[in-house]
Amino acid sequence: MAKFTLNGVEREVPDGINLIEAALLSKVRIPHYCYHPGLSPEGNCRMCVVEIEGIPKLQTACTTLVADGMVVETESEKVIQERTEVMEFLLRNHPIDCPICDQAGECGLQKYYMEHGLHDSRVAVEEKILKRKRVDLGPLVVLDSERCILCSRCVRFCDEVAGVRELVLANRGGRSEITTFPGRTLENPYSGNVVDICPVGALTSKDFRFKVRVWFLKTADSICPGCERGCNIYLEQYQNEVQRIRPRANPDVNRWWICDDGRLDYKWINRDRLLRAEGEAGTHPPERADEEAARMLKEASSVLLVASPRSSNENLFALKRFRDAALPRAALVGGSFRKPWEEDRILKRPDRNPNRKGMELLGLSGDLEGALRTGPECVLVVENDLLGDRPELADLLRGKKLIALASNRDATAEAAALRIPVCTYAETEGSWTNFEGRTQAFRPVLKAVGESRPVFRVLEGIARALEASLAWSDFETLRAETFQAAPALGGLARTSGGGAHAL
Amino acid sequence: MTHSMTRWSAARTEEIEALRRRYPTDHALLLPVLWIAQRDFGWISHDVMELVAETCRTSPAHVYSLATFYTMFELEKPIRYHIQVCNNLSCSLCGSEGILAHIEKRLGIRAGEATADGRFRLTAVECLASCGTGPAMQVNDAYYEKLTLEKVDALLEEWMK
Repeated sequence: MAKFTLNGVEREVPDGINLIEAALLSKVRIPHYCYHPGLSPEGNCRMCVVEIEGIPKLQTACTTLVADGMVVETESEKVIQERTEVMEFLLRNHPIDCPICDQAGECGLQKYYMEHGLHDSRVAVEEKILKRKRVDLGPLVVLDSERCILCSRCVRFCDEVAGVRELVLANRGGRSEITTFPGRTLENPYSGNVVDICPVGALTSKDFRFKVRVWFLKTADSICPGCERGCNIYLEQYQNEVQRIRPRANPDVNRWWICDDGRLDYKWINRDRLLRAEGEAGTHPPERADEEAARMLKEASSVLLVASPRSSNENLFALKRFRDAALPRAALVGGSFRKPWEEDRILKRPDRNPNRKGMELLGLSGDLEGALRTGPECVLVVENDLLGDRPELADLLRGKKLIALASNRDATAEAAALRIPVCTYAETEGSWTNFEGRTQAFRPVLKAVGESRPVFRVLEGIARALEASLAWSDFETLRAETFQAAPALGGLARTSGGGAHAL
Repeated sequence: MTHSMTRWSAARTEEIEALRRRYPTDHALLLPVLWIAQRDFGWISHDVMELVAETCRTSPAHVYSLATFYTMFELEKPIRYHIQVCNNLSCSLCGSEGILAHIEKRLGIRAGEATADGRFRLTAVECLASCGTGPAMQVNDAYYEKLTLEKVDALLEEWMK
């Protein structure tokens, strides 16, 4: 531990951390652009300068490690004046196009300008150096060189995290620019992260820009459904549609990053949703749909319930309870035919199901293909697009009464005799257990789309129609029961903290 | 992939491999190899940058970053006289703006342009690292320092002959 004095107050912090982090532990924020906790410190933006007793010149807090006995001032007159002057330099060639800039509202230049700038520009607009305004940097990223302050966070990200030196600083002085090699674009599968870490509006997302002003977005803590890593994300919605996904820092799982595939894995939530229950005779209101499902299940001589490694632990547990309470003779098997993708050494895991581990720990994994072959008369498929993942299964399912609890009009729902809409993970509470056995909660950000209900509520409804007793007063009760019945899930994981700030 | 014409000669490959042993990392080899490339190919085209990247086991973008930073590398097809006038602080204080304006007038072009006969290209550049002897300019590989309008005129007379 190091004892140091921060703005006149003595503090004790761990050794070996820099002054930005040390101050943050004492809730003192030192302004900065180029420093990012996930990248090597560089000290180029000069915004984090502080006064240290005994050192005549101001020092960059990001490159200075805290030491015993250090006396640090972050708000002295000298520091404040320096910040104002640094802001002036950083804005030397800034085009002041905030009204059409997507970074507006979450821009480091706007933020610190309000705190440390507020001076009239000494540079006439026509004197500013013009740079490239719309550079296609790759599938996800657009560069506006005039807005760039050359902090090089994106350069270091590609170098240090993605492991490819695709982005560099070219030219020198006032004409310096971020660029790829002429004629090439960003090819690394993590390129979207450079948009998140850009402290200004230089790098914006092709997928998101011009869609919504960021202050209209509503945000929820969620988990990426893309693979069994379980990266922590923010889901952000406007007008009940998901507009973008951003990584949520978790040092134990994904640090500050997500892959590009995960970043774009939300469009299906807004598209081709199943809005009402549909049977062979047309649409049904929810209660009728539950009764119809109950009738089909009751009339069948043999029933197979298919669970999915994409369902939440709570919904999987509810399905188990449903079988025990309403259909004790039915088989219940979980599995997925989703094709794996290529694993990498950064975040991507081969299995593209977010809750394979949870399904295993709940004892639901089994030989799904074998179970389908035994020829059940009626098959209830929950959140599992068997036919989309493996179209050849159509032969195996032919002649069986198929009921699908599905959020989307996927191939399985379309083939079903009865399809009942259920909420996606964006509309409900739930948890998935990642490949390391870490159980993580996701929160709803959307209102239920159409007449979709959470899976466990649909199961309650069908059970009621089957005259079985199955009911949870609320989601929390279901979750508590789930964790009690399956202690191997370990309850909700705590993170080791350090979920760091954008600036 | 590099252009099929852009390759080192066998002797040059040998020279580079000998050089490689003298440097602690392949990155450190970049500047000397860029110099060799400029000598062999006359200028540093994108194809040459890709060849240098391959040789120094780094990305073409990294080579691009270095080659565009240093003013001594020619990034366009060589021209008879490439005049680069420093416009950084020390030279500006010593009057480089007047020097640049004078050359623009004499050649009838603006900084960043070339004369119609293809003999002169004029560029305003960032620091030439000659702050002690400003105003300074670099013409091809030679430095001209402590410039005055008279000195510039004499040089231009000579080159325009």
